[in-house]
Amino acid sequence: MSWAAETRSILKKELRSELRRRWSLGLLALFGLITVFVVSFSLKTSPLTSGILSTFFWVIVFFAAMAGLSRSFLKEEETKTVLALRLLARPSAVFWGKLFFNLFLLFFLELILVPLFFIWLNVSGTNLTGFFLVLFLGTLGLVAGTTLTAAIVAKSESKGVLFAILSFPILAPLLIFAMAGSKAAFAGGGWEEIAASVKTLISYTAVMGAGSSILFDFIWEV
Amino acid sequence: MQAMQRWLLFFWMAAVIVLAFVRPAPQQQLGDSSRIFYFHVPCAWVTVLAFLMTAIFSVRYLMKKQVEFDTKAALSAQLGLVFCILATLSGSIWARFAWGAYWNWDPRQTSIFLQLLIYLAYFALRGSLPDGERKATFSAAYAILAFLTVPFLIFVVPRVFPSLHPSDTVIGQEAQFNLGREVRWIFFASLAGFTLLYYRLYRLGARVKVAALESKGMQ
Repeated sequence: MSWAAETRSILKKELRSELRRRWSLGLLALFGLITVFVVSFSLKTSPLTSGILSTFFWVIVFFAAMAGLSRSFLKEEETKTVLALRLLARPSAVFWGKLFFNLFLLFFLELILVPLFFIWLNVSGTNLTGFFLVLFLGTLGLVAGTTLTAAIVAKSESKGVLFAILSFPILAPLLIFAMAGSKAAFAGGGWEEIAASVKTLISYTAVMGAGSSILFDFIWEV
Repeated sequence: MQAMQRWLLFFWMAAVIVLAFVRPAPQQQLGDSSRIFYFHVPCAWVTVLAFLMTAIFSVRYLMKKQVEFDTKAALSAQLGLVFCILATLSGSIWARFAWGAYWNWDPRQTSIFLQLLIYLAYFALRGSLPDGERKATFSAAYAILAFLTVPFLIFVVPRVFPSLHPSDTVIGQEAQFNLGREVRWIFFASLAGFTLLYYRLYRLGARVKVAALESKGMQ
């Protein structure tokens, strides 16, 4: 089988097993809903500045990602299917399959998060194109930066806490620029104001994606 | 030979410290508080250098799979953590006098804090795994991945966001030295001293750790 076909079948397997246990997708959606709720409920309808909005937004996305993204590898450990996966597919196909699956999870989560965030927090005057561009790139970067740590954490002790601890310093540059970019977008700023963030997000995603995919080969074998 | 190196380093550092306090302050406006330049910048330099060494040893571990490299990577990270704490504390004290607050999340403060978090996360990971190939491989992979974010923290963040931190003190816009001649001499002497101090501590630690590994291997 070619690499692309292998990657596709890993992704298909992930999606199928996830859809079989629909409640787990539901749990993720509910988690997203609760975090937006807590933020918007406690603030009621007080007007928020673009800086506060973007901070809340990315804090919500970060913690929702921490709750959802570690599962892809953890699941294999729980069901003791790691060995089979290691025998059947080459490491890079596993890595990219899992990465695309995590991307799917995060996009699914954002599908629920974003409309609720805009409605409950009365967001208006946003440069929507800019916002979605930053969101899209930020999501790619989040996934590129956390897939390797998820694989590391799955085989360590105290998994849940460790995942956030390991991922945060790696994601920090991404979060800083995603927050800056969406702050400008929330304020209705044009391309000039978000350009620096967009460029940095692209380079961050490229560097992290390439680095993780190389390093994954080493950790998958031990 | 070892003893001579030790004394040489001792007198070198002593001379640097004395000169840093006796000679006129490097920056007139900031006055005496600018003397921190001689200690804070070398600490920050060693912080990054030590992490670079950790990343290099990690790559070598992944290539060769020899425990020795893993031990050296961890050792360099331990030393880096110490210098990172020193750089953070000294910078924070200086910020109190120059900016009026110990901490105000200047981009440089954010960067050094995140570097501190990277070191701590690295040790958290090491602590959560039992000794063996898995621990060494995972921490090597994590160190390399974390090192990839360092250029963003050091070069991108402070340049995109407004910072109060003096940034062109050592290397100016046209990569020319902005320092007075005497300041430059003391500064580079201090930089060399701190780097050698790191190197000496590293060599000392490596000797102990490798000997421990060998004695464990013999039993």
